[in-house]
Amino acid sequence: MHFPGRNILLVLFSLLILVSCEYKPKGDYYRDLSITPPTGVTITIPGSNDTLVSTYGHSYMVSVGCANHSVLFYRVYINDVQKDFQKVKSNDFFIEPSAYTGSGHIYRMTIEVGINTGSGSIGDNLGTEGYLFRREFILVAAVRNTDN
Amino acid sequence: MNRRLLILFFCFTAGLFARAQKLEFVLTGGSGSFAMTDIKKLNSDLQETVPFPTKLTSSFPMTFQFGGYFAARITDHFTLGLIYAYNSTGSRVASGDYSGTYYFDNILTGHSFGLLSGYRVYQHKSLRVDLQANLGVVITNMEMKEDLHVADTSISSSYQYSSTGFYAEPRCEASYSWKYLKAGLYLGYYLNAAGKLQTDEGQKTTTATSWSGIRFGILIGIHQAGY
Repeated sequence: MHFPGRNILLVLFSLLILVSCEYKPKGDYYRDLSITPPTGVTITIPGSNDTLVSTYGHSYMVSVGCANHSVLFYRVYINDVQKDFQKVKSNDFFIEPSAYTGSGHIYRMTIEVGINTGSGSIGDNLGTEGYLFRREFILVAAVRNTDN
Repeated sequence: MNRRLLILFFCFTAGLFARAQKLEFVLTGGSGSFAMTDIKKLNSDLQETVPFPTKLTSSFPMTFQFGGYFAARITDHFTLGLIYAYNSTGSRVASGDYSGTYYFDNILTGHSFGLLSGYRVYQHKSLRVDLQANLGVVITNMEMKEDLHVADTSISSSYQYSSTGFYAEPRCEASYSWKYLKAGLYLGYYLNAAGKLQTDEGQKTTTATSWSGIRFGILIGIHQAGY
């Protein structure tokens, strides 16, 4: 007696064998890493203290001391409003405060830096993890000559 | 042109089978090694490129392969038939830590279709030794998958490739027959002229697949009386 479903079953069985014999990737490589938060991180503008007198067009070098860690980016806030964001490859970078403000006023300028964890993890290498450090400065924007 | 050759080939084979009085159908199961030189290099290049440490956790291991052939005894010593074999292997490059995981997988499957030609070199009662020279084509499908999970971000991509290449397989087969049944062992070497991979859209790559390597396994089959 002819059984029409037999061929279908045979094909399904063959497909099942094919699928079950397909190579399945195996193996994990887990690295047990530990994170040590950086200590003694400093954000300084050489030659200046907490108060910065900004003159028009003048750039200031910001130096970040963070031992073996690297600075990934910085943000600059004026009175809590973000004015600048830059990715950097050096622990020293330059900002131009007069570009963020008007003249003849006093502002609160916050410099925020992102520092890598240095753990060597996937996230660390791809720049998706890190620490944030910030420091506030009093920014005195000098009156420009053209304002007189 | 290829189609005409294929039709000619099947007509020729069908003619031989019609003439032959002694047929056999054999299933084979075994294992084998795979060269995959280009894809191994692809993996090592990737490991050098990825900005974090990775490990090759699996590199084209020997896997179970199965197949079979349908052959006809043309003369006392000579056998001709059609042979098929299925192979699957692959590789994995992996990395993982507290921040996430990364996997780069290659999964390859190969279907070999060929012409079997065997020559009986030894026979003692029901014990037989045949030397085979099998020629044909191997059609390869490759899936390349990349998965990256970091924190709450996941990026996954998958690409399909295929290739076609020719193969030759010298093989030695020792078998024992009992009534209509046949069982035995085989050992051979699979030589694959590497076929270049191409994308589904037909875009060719410089990477080739090579299934070359040793083959061994067992066989079991049925045949006509007096085979």
